[in-house]
Amino acid sequence: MRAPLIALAALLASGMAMALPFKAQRARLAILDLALDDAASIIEGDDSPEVALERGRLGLYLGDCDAAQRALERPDLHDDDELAALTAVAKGCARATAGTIELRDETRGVMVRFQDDEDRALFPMIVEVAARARDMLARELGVRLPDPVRIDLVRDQFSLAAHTGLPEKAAQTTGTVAVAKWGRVIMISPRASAHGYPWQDTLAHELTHLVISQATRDRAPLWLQEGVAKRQEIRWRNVTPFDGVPSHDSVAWDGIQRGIALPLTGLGRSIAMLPSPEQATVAFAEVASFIAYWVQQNGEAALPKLLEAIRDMPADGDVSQALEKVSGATLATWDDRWRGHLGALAPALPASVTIGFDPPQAREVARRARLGELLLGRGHHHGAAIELSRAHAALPSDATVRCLFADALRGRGDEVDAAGLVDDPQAIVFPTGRWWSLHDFFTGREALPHARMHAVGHAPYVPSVACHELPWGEYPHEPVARALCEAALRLPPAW
Amino acid sequence: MQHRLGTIERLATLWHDETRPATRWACIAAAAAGVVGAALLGRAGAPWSRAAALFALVLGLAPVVIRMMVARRRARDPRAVMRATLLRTEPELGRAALRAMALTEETTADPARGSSELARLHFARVLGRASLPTLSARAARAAWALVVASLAVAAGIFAAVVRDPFRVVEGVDVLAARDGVAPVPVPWLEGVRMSVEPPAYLHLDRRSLRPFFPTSLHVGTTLTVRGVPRHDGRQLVLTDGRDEVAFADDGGGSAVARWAVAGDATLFVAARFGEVLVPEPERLEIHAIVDHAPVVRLDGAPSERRLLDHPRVPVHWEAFDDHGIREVALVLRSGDREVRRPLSTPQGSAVADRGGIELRADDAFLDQSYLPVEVTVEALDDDPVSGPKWGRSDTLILLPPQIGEREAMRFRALRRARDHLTDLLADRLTAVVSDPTAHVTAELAAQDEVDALFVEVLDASWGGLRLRGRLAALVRGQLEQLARALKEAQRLPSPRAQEARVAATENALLAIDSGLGALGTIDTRATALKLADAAMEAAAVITRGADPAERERADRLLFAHLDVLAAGGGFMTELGTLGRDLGELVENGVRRIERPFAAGDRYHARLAAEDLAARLRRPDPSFGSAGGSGHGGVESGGMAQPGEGEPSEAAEQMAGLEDALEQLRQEHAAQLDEVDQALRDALPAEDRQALQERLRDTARRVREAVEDLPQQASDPASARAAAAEARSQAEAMADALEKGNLGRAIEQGQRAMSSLDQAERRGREAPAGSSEHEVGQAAAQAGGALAELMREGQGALEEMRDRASKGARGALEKAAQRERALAERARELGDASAKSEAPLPREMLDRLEDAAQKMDEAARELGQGEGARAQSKQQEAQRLLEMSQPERDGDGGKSRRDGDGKDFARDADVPPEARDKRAEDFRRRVTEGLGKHAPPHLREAIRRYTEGLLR
Repeated sequence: MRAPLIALAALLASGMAMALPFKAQRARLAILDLALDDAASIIEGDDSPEVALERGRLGLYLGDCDAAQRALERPDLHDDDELAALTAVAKGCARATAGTIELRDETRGVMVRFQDDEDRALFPMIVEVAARARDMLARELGVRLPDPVRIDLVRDQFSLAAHTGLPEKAAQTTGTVAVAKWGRVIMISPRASAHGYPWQDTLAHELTHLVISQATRDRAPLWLQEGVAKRQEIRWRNVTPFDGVPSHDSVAWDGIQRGIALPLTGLGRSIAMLPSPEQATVAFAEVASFIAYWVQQNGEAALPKLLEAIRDMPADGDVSQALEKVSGATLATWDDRWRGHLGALAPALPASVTIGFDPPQAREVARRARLGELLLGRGHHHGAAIELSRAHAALPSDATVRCLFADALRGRGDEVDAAGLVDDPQAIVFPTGRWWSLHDFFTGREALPHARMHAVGHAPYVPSVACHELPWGEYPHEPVARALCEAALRLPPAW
Repeated sequence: MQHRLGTIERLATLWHDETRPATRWACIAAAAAGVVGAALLGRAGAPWSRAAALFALVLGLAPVVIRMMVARRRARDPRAVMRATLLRTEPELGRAALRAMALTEETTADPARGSSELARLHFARVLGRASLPTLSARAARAAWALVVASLAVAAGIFAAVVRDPFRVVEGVDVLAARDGVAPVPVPWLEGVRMSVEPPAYLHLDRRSLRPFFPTSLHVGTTLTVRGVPRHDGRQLVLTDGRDEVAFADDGGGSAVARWAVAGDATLFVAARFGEVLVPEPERLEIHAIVDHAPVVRLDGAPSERRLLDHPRVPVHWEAFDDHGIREVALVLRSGDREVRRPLSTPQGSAVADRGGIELRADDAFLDQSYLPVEVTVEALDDDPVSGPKWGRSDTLILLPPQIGEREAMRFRALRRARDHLTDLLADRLTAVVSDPTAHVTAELAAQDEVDALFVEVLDASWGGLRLRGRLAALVRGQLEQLARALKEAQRLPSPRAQEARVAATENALLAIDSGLGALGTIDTRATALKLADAAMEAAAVITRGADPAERERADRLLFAHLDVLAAGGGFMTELGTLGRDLGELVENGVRRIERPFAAGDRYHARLAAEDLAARLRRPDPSFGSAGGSGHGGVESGGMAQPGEGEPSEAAEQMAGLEDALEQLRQEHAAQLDEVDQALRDALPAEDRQALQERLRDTARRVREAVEDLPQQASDPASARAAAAEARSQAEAMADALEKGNLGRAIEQGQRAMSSLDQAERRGREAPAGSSEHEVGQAAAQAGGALAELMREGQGALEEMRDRASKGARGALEKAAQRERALAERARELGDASAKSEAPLPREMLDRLEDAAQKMDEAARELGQGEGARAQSKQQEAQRLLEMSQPERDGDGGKSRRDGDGKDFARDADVPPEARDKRAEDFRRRVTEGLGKHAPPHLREAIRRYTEGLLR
């Protein structure tokens, strides 16, 4: 009877002795797996400096930046670059999250922290997109994000930088609007930009990053991260005529031809840190085009297998080997094949699209558009129509000019011509939120599917978009839409 | 029993009769000794001495008490009589008598013990055997002993008292003291004299006082009391019952004490015995005359004024003091900030001072204040006794504009004008012209209305803030373009002219719209930096509020700061695109502070305030990309869209032109200095030496000529003010002469002459005999002397230049080439401006052209070696260049508060190796900075002034 007990005690003792030195490592792996509760259990009750770094990291993943800061500012921690970086982020995050509000949808497992409480009107829509994107990603990549999905909607790039450690200058240079970091999506509110931006697809894009990080324990290279995220960002919703226009292939090929395309493995730490938005656009197109080609060649099921292979590769392993294991060829081989494929296709950019420079008529269009805007602002619809018709004639594919022109025509009672400006998706390249909104308003049942959702998905705070193009003082009946309309109307008017 | 008792009584009477007189005297002596001893001991005035005195008194009275007790006992107890008498003289017989008396008592009590009569008889017989002579002799001896003792005591008493019998009286008085004061006053001094010496700052003479007659004395006065002590060896003091000063021997047989008057008092002389004072009967009532704090009257106070409505606040004060004013200061307080500025330092103990200044809305303190500012004038008296005291005026409360309020008003006004220009464009775009001439006439009227609106904006002031600088130049230039197009249409009405008018209107609208956008951005950035300070102060008061003692005030301040932030954010939203963005952000920031604060979470409230401050210190758009499209680029799901182009580059072009003009101005100024230096270097050393001595002498005479003129004045429209200005200018002329800068000396001299002329004219208009009239006369006199010295200086200048020109021919030829190149650049700039979207107003372009012509002329003179004439042309060209520049807007461009300002707060020393460079950099920055932001016609003067300051 005594012998088995002694053996068990010895086993426990040896088990504990083994476990102690690896607590930090185990906690770190749990954090990377987004098993945050497990990570918390591992380090619970251990106040040693060894696990303090992981406690700080866990705080950041949980969005509890105060706790992270407390954990990391211990004087007995070994001062190194990682600690310094984490501490800086924890401090910035604690400052940026002070006084914010947090909403949680327990049913769908989404938690959103709003730096600007006026953004609460977006909460139902954010939850909807996050839930659908999570389901899609679980289906297509084989890994499901655990509850809750944490999203921080910040007010500006300043706070985005504070949350993530991304230099603000880099964010400004490349126009970064969101970053997936610390197991959370940190995204700028669409109210930060006068024109809004496609925040719904952005959210799906960033959630994809989280899934890839979770699936690979953060071992996926940048080209894979961005390529897959680019592929998945629109797959949570129905396809629109504007998806893939201009095609990633054509943009990538244009970049390669002009010598501004970077090698897949030479994108640096982040596309957000590339020196110009033009290079960032080309880089995105490259990786998206490459992944599309690779998936096309290997089938959709290959993607989750690749992620798994990357996760399981040895510590000194190479992604190229994982690629070879899943698809039978190395990265260099696939790169060659993809470039050959592009060369054979030689896809051309649409005539109205330029990358990195303005079309020659841009100046004239801008002048006329601004004059039209000013005249519209003063109620001179006839005068505005004259100016905007010239702008429209100079650049017919410009959705912004079309919308202004439509307003001018509506103002002078010419509804039919106004509708004609926004009814044809083929006439434009880059739809704006307003275009979607007017398209939905004028074409009614014949409108593209989910046009209203796309309108709000681009520019939720443009009053006419948020208020469904209703006359001043009228609100949409649906409560979520009405709340958004009211929030948009509370914004100061444009000058 | 009667018989027996009678016998005992006889025995007692016999003894008593013999000893009573001696016993009485002994008792009297003992009592007297006790009293005297007690008085002498009690005179020490200490607790122990009172106890000792009591003991002595008790001791002295003890014999009397004992005697009484003994007598009483003997009357009660026959045995006591026998013990004191018979038992001492005949002990055997005494004992037998006691036994017989005991037997008598026993038989009386118990007849069974025997016959009481026989016992009494036995007792009587025993007593009868006593020898009366023996008893008498014994009593006589006892009496004698007492007499001797009494005499000895009496002698002792006599010895103690005879030396100073008054001491016994003092002792008794001291012993009877209550609360440290003896009940019976005693005159201690005779021939008392009193005198007073007022404090020196009052400049009053020393005087005598009638002793003990009530008087009023200034606080700080020294009262001297002198008198001859009636009793030697007493510790005399002068006291008000609380404080006291000791009398000291003055060496002449008198005692003297000095009392400094600090307040109302009743003084008396007293002798101090330990803790007890024995006062004199007479007292001196003093009423202290207090030195009051100055009284300051501030015109218009108390009241409240909005700085927006009153951008210039006159501050006129009058200060009065009962004795003298040392300093008058203007004190501004806002929140926790306070600044104290000297207004006046009256000399010679002036008891009144008055003056006036003007507080402007752009004053540094007011400009940085967003909480109400309390303005007071405070005067400091010269009271060295109780310390200088500040007297404060009533408070004038200035309500500064909210942060961004003035900017929002300016923006609104210009936007309104822009909107009217938009209306004009709409009319022109949609006009159907049937009668071109009539149409042009109608358009002229419409354009005049728009012009009038813009002129109104250009002339307006919003709490001291005006539309100036490049934007004003841009607006003027555009209005000229519009006017020119209309003029062309008037000259030749045609459809093409109509199109040209529309195009000109479109250009003007876009240019002004572009300028408005630039103005909004600049104002937003400046406003954001101010709001950042407010947010930081909010964070600081939140921290301070953690201390319960500070909480109430800190929380009140916090709410004030939050109000400022909320209002500032609101105004910001009106300032164009960036303002709308940041203003909204500020409003959210305020909510982020309020939310945790309301929940009692100061930590996060402070963090939120710090976050807002940090954000506002970087007043960039919330979202930006180098592409400038304003659309999401990276991570946005779509590709970055091409930039939309700028509708107008007018604002940027105007800024570029302004910079180019500024560069040209600086280069030409440097060219001027080089020519000057070349001419100086060309002068032989001995000539230079002689000239320098001559100039130094002239400088001395210039200073002498104006030394009688006033140095300052409060009324800027007075002869005094003009004369003071002339003096300052003449002194600047003297400085320039000493430095060998004849050109500047002449220029300053001319200004001084002009000011003197003005002072003389104002003086003539003033009533004869008034100080203004006198100043005018002094100015006339100085003017004559200065004119003569100017002529001398001018002669020296020309002589020097003529001589120098000959020696500097080579350098002048090179300078000529550079001058021609600069002239060419000036013309190119003019052409570029005329062709740009933001042409300068015609007037400025003309000046630029004139400047180019003067440079050409200067180049010709330089080429011919005519240095003096060339310099004159160069100076004209320089002045024209400066006048052709848009006046810099003080609120535009880089804020003077760029950065976090911490560098300026540090009071660290400059490391020696860096000192020279830092000093040089500092000089350069100050010189350039002041020169840049000054109005063109003052730039040169300010530069010289600055150089003088920094030299």
